[in-house]
Amino acid sequence: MKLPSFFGSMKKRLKGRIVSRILSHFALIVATLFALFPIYFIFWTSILKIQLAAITLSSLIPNLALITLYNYNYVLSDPTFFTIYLKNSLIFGLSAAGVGLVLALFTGYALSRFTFPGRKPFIYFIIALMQFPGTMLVIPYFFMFKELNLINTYLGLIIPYSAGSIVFTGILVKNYIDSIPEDLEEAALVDGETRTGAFTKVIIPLIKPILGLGILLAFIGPYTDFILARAFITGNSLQTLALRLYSVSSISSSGGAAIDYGVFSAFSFLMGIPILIIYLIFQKYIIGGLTLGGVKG
Amino acid sequence: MAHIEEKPFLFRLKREWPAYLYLLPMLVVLLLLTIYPISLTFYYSLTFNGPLPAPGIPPNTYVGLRNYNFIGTTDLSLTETLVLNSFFWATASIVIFIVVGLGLAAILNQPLRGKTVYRTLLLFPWAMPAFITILTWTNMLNFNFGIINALLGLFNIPPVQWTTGGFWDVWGGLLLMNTWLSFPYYMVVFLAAMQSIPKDLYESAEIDGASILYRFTHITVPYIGSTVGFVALMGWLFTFNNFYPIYLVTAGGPGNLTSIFVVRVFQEAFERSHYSLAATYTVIDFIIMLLVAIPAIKYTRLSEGWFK
Amino acid sequence: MATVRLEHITKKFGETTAVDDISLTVNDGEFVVLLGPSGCGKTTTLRIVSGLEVQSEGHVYIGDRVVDDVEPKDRNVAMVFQSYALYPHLKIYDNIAFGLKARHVPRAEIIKKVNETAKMLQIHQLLDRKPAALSGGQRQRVALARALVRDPEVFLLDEPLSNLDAKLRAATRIEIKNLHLRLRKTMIYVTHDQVEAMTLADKIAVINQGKLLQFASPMDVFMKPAHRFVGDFVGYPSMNMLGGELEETSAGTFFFTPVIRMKASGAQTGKYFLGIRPEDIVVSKSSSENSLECSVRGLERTGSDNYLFLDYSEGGIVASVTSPDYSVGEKVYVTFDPVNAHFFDAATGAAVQLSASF
Ligand SMILES: Nc1ncnc2c1ncn2[C@@H]1O[C@H](COP(=O)(O)OP(=O)(O)OP(=O)(O)O)[C@@H](O)[C@H]1O
Ligand SMILES: [Mg+2]
Repeated sequence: MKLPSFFGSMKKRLKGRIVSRILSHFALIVATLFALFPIYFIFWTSILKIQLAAITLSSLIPNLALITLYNYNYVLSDPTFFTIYLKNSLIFGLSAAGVGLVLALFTGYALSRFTFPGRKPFIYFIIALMQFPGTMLVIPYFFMFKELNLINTYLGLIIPYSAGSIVFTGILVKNYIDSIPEDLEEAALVDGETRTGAFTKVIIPLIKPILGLGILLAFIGPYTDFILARAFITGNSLQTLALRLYSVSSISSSGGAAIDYGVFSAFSFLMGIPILIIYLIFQKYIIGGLTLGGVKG
Repeated sequence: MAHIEEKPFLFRLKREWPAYLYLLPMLVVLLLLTIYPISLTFYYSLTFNGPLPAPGIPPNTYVGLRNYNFIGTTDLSLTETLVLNSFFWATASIVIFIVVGLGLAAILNQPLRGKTVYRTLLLFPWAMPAFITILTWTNMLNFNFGIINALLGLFNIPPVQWTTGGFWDVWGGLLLMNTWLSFPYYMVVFLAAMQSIPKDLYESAEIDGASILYRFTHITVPYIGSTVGFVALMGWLFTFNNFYPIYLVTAGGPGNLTSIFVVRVFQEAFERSHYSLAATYTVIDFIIMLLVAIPAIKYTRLSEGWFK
Repeated sequence: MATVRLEHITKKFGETTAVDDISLTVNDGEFVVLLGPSGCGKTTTLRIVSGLEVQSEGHVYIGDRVVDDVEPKDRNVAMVFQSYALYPHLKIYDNIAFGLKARHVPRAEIIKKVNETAKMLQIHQLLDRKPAALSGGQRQRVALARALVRDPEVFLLDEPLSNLDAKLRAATRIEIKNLHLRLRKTMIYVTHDQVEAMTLADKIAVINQGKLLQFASPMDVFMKPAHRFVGDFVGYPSMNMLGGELEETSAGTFFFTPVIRMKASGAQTGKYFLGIRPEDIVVSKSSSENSLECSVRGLERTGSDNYLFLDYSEGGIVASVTSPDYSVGEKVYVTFDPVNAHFFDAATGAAVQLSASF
């Protein structure tokens, strides 16, 4: 039976739709494999018994017989992992996050809620300053802190780490405050609060989520920093996770000593996964902040 | 009857002065930890502070524009290489990010089964700290033991010298890795912008008989154009000075093939103690950044979000 | 004593003048409505009274005190925002108690007052909820409660009913009126809805483009509009406006429009508008002396009222009629009693007193 042409064209449209759907899934699957492969690679080699030089494609296929926890055991049974590397990374990360956040809170509030004379030039000025390659501040810092005898001290790292995140978290906070109706503060003003009272009683409770997030983001800078740490830390006692990871990262020229590679992967996984989870949970806020605040590396 | 006769400036000042109190901590930090060190960098670029480029001169001597003269003459070819490489690195990366990001965002912006799952999985590279994943990529790109070459072998492609080969081998490897690091961010930002386009615009255009291309150029582009532009600008400025991907994978090599400003500066300063030369390159880099950023921000409407 | 007095208040935002030399006095216990179209400066005026905005020129008095330099918190006013501005992170109880806590009222008294006010507005069963869990009408009551509980000298309300549906709006309107009758507090109420203004106000201040055009009782605003804009804005359908000229002739002074000729006197010759309300127009199916022939363009029936849209040779007229018994295209004859005619200066818009007759 010949269908009327109306059905014919509908069939064609349906067919076109199915083809485009299949192509879409295909593209997304390819992209997803590309995206996940390196992370899978880290995970799998961290529990794989085989030495790197002997890894073949077939050994990448999940297989219970090839699994070992040796690498994790190796990393975690070394007490210095906790007493030096993790401890120092947490000290640098948390103190920088704490200091940076307070600064960001004030900055974000001022930029969002005040139209003070000089606001626009100030923002231009910050944008201009941001164009200075941040990584290269390490050179003047090096001399400044040498002068102050702060090289290879906690304070000498906490200070630049705190400063490093304030522009970004400040903008994050500003954007979030922008989204809170000004009415709420004005209602508090009419109700008898001072401007500071409105800030502490209305704004701060409302921006708690972004404050939590600001702490996380400000934490991650020092947590994964290599440049400042490499330039400022000379002794053993201040070593961080990032420095340690770097030192276990290179493959020996023979590709042997596979323990090294497995250890590197286990180390990477332990260090990276908490951050990955946090990022995925808070992606909406982080991306919103990033869109105005610059780009994450 | 006395009218309040105040200039708008004083008028605003009267109400808005607490803003300066709130900004004070930030201003102190900016002054001590940004403005002062930047000025120091300028100063260092005018002094001699290492074995090169003026042997025999005692350290910390003011030497005027001698360092600039040095990099503009003796070291000119290196300087040119750094400029070209930095521009190439930033521009090529951004073009790829935008193409891949827009493509995937467009695909995810249609009704499709499982798209939230795809979206979340595609975010993984972005959510993992870059320092860690770059080190992994360094190993994956290894000529002898790298898994990438093994994968290529699967398709009978001979192994590539990712860190030691020719122009396209090395830059190809870096751009591949950089794409992996950054495409998720561009994808979600573009997706969010696309989702903010009212659906009925497309529907009414479709009823009016507009082709897909017409809908793209007349609805999608005007709506997300400024987001794409702003993100591209910020991304370009960021990538121009993105240190880790190049430093950790190729360290600027082989030779100076992939050397960019920041990597060179770090090496001059901390591997060769040529601090004044490093400072001079930093100043050049800063000037280039300002020359790109200021007109882009001033003469386009890309940065509106900053000022709201 | 909580009189509120505005003295030559002007507010400029850059180039735009939001409020233009407004002077008015709100007596103690009076309910004054600021009425005007969107963007005319009502909210700005209210915010200047509250202190949230500082005027560019002029003075604000609350009681006998100049409050130009007084912070909002010290003005002893309460404000209900159009958006209600309930604190989303606080329970209803804490929302209502916020202002009392800010003023360090003893705890026991806070509890007592909050409960009393909540009972009065019938929201006492909601005190443990957060604002997000309330309906629009409930939020509106909480906003009112937050203002009432403080027992301020002056209440400022910015379109408090505009987010409610028509039925709830009518009900709440009555409640607000009763509240005012009971409390006898000075209230300034902003709206662009003339029904709200007419029903609530002791006095209406009609504002357009930042200027105060008339400040009078609702009846006076309706019956004796002081400005062409007021006549046009207040009343539905709008007052009919017919442009014409007052001319000296050998037979006396006459007001001419292209279709009307009236004896008129009491003002300089020149261009004027003749305003006549739809309900003052008499429609008849047969012609009479001084009647104008029109044809029916359409009829709008609202259930209780019927509005007849008429065309005559030079324009259109709206008339309010009792019978809906007209058909489109039908010829009718309209006339009106000259006593009901309003005259406005064509240049300034100001009302002028003319004694007119056919
Ligand atoms: N903060 C501001 N900056 C610049 N212009 C403003 C500001 N606030 C109000 N205006 C302008 O002042 C004029 C009066 O505004 P206002 O909010 O008082 O109007 P309104 O009568 O309350 O209108 P609506 O009925 O729409 O609420 C408008 O033209 C408005 O655009
Ligand atoms: Mg308003």
